[in-house]
Amino acid sequence: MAIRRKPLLTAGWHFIIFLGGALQGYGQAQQRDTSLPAGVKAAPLLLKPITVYGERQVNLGQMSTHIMGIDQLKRMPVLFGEVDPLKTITLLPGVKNGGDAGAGIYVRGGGPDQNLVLLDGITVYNPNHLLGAFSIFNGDAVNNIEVIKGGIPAEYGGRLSSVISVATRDGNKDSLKVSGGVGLISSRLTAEGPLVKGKSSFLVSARRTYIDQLARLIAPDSFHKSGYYFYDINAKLTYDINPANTLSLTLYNGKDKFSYYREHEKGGRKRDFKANWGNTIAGLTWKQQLNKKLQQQLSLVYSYFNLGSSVTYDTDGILFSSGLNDYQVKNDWLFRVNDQLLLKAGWQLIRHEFKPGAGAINAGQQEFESKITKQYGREAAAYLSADLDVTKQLRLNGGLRVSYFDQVGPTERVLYGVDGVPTGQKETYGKGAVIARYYYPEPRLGLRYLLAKDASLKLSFTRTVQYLQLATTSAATFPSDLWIPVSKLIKPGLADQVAAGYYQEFPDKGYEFSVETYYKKLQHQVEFKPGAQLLLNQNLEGEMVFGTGKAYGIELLLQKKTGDLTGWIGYTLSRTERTFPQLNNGKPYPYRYDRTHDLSVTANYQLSKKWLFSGVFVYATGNALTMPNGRFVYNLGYNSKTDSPVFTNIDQYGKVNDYRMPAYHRLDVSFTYTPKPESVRRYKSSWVFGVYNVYNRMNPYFIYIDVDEEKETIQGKQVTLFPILPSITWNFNF
Amino acid sequence: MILLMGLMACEKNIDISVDAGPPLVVVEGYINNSLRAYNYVIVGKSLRYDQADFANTPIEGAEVTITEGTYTPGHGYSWDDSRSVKLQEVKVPELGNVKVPGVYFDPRRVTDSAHALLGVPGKSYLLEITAEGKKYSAITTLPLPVRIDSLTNTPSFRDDSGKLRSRLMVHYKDPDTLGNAQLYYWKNVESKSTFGWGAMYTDRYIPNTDDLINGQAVHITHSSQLPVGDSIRYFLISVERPVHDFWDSFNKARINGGPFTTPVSLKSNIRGENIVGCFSGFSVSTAVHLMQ
Repeated sequence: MAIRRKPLLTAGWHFIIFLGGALQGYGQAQQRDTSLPAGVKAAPLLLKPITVYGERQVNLGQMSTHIMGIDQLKRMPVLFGEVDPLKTITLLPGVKNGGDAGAGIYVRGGGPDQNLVLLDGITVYNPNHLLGAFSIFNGDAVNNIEVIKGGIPAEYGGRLSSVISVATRDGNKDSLKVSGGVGLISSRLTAEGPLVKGKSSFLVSARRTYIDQLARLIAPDSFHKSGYYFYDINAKLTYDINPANTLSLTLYNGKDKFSYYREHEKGGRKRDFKANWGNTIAGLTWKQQLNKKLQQQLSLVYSYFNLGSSVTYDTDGILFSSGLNDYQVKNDWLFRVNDQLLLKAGWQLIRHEFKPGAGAINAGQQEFESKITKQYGREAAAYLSADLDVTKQLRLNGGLRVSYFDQVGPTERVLYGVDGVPTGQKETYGKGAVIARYYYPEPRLGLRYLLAKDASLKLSFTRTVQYLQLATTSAATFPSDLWIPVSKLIKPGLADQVAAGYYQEFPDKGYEFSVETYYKKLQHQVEFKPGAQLLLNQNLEGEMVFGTGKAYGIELLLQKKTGDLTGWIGYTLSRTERTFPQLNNGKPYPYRYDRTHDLSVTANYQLSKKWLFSGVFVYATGNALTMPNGRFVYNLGYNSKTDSPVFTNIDQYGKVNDYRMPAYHRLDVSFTYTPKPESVRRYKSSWVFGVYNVYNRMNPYFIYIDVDEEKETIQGKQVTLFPILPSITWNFNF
Repeated sequence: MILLMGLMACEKNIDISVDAGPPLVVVEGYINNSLRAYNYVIVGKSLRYDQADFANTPIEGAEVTITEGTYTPGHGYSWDDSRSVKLQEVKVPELGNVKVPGVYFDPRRVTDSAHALLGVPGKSYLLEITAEGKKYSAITTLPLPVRIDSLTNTPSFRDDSGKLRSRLMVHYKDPDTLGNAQLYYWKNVESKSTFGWGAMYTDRYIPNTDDLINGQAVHITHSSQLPVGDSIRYFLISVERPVHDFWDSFNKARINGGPFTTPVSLKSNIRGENIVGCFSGFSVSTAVHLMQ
């Protein structure tokens, strides 16, 4: 912890720096073993990206927080050798993924849309490529990732369950550097360097996959018009106007393009499906150090998510697009009153523009064009928080965030009768007319008590409010993400979480242990009715049902942070359930990603100067699933020529999520070979050899009952996505 | 993903064991204004999830009645007991003159078929069933039929086997009032060998409400490839919203299957315990077209 020796960085500042993850850039916490940039020398340097590793959990006021630096991320064995911060954090207790290629992260029983995913402070709406197999965060551009699962500070809001904040790297201010990698499915290239030496820098990092090209080599001819690839580009510009003022610009653009084409199948129909989706993100931030005690940061943010797809099925064609546009202004202030008291305040305004699905049928059938009217929302929030050292042992932090959301015109709205059924009439709202308005206070409280030098207790309470929901059906065979705002019928989601934790360090042995327990209550949760019509539906509100949820659990984490062997063991015992009056006869049922047991073991071992070994083992209770518990035939008819009945088989469903998939477990290993570890030359390279799913565990991706009406057979089927998968990646920089 | 799955994913058979739910009573009832033979009620029981014989267990000897009535806004339904028909499991010629258990017809289908039960647009119908000691009921109303302006077909083409085919098109104007819904059925005029709504051709992939196209002229091309020279009887069926919603949920449930399945429950319009199904009031306009 070299930084602690720096006289100007008092204990108090550590605290700021750490919590400053919120105030992106006041300090970006990083790995312990990452060296400090040379610039960190004098007071104004607090504006620079200070790379401090992990304030000791024991000492920290904030609870339920994990930070991983890029060095640590790069050491983890990953699918196809793609460094992926979002996948790696799911190895932490309380943070779960949906399984192989399961899109979404589930924090302490929350849904995938309940995570505030930030890239340099900018909200990212769809952080996934390839339907969730990869995240949009390119390891080469990332500096660190921070996850806050509980005790969320007042400066964050808008999502119920967590904050996942990714900070990108600043470019090198002194010399031009190029780095990159060539992997099995993708290649990356990063260039960085000074624009004005010592004053400003740039970093541009791009990657593209070539699965489609590879697939073409081995796939049958009929697949050749099908394909899939994604690309993404990250860029960052920083400019130090003077020692007290810095400007930075973050840009991201990424897109997935998918196409599926089949010439006539046995039924004689041609299928052609195309979809592309992606994010564009831009953020301009001005950081200012007004004096030794006062700092502020002003950000202008633009975020755009778009999904477009077309389906041609024989003569019928459907075009579909949905999207979301965000404009945001954000201002954060930090005031260090004295060594004991730190105040933070800020506000933000966001204008949302929702395209909840515009579509057209452009061939065959009924030709029409449908414009589902856009919806508009305005979101605002202001917060004030204080961190106070009451005694040497006791640190309190209290904050209040007040958030506001209104849905405004111009738009059209379907009217509903008292029974909730559409009346067939519509209301039209003019520009700026308020359709629905909500505001909530969101208290945040935290407490840390040092029991000894190496042990502490923490408590927290947070209320969080969410005004946007992600509408998705798991039946969709292509991404159909629709972000929709609260409205007259859809109330903002509310979450109340209490958490308690105990933290113990064993500094001489390099171990750190923590146990946290939480209880979370969710209100106004939204689910689509089974079989809801998501495409081309002005009446989305009417397709929803509303309910509550609760989640509780205990999380254990034992980390070894120093020595040749490092890593952690994380274990979560938890339960999460939902209760919807209209589902499961109103009885509580397990959430789809309810995981009774969730274990992850990670290890990095320096075998020699040239060889580094990494391994990950995960075990998780299988996902909960609704399975048919009966069947019947319907739409009957009779064919006297063949003397046979005509019928349609219909599955009958009983309890929701009453069936469990088999447990998920997997071992991944990787070996990193650095040919010349002590080389002082500019050019360096390394090889990463990885094996995903070493013992070829057939983890279930889907389970279903296959019904063959002609052969009159019924058979359970399990689909596994990723068997054992070796990978090799070559990385270089000069 | 499909591509990737196609390349890497592997599928294997597994044993799935689920607690079987209680059997449901399955009701499929129709009242229409055009085909007397196609007014019937089928009553049965659902199967275990792993039973592969694909036939509901018929419920025999149920008491099934259909009563005509009218609906007056503000006053509700009034049922005309003199127009109440008790349906029975009778032998009808269309089913080879054998008594099919669980299939209930107006007995006049056998004795006086010209006066057998027929729906009237604008009237409401009450279905009452007593089966195995339990009572079930449903109400459906026949809306006014929508006139078929014309039937045409697309230019002909040769299919993979070289046979000349084309696609049927229907043209009609959606009524100006919002909330109309249609179902589309057709059958080959020559074909006498099929019976029942389930044995007719139907197109299930069309947005068949007027939420987005209210009052517009509608031109639909059905995707089925029909042989040129065939004579087609077309049924443009107007239904009230609950009936539409049931068949819409049915269509979603029936294309359900395979790995991407989500549970879809049918939106039944029948009241009672552990029951599924629809009493469908079909208001039919019909026309014949020779495929050219």
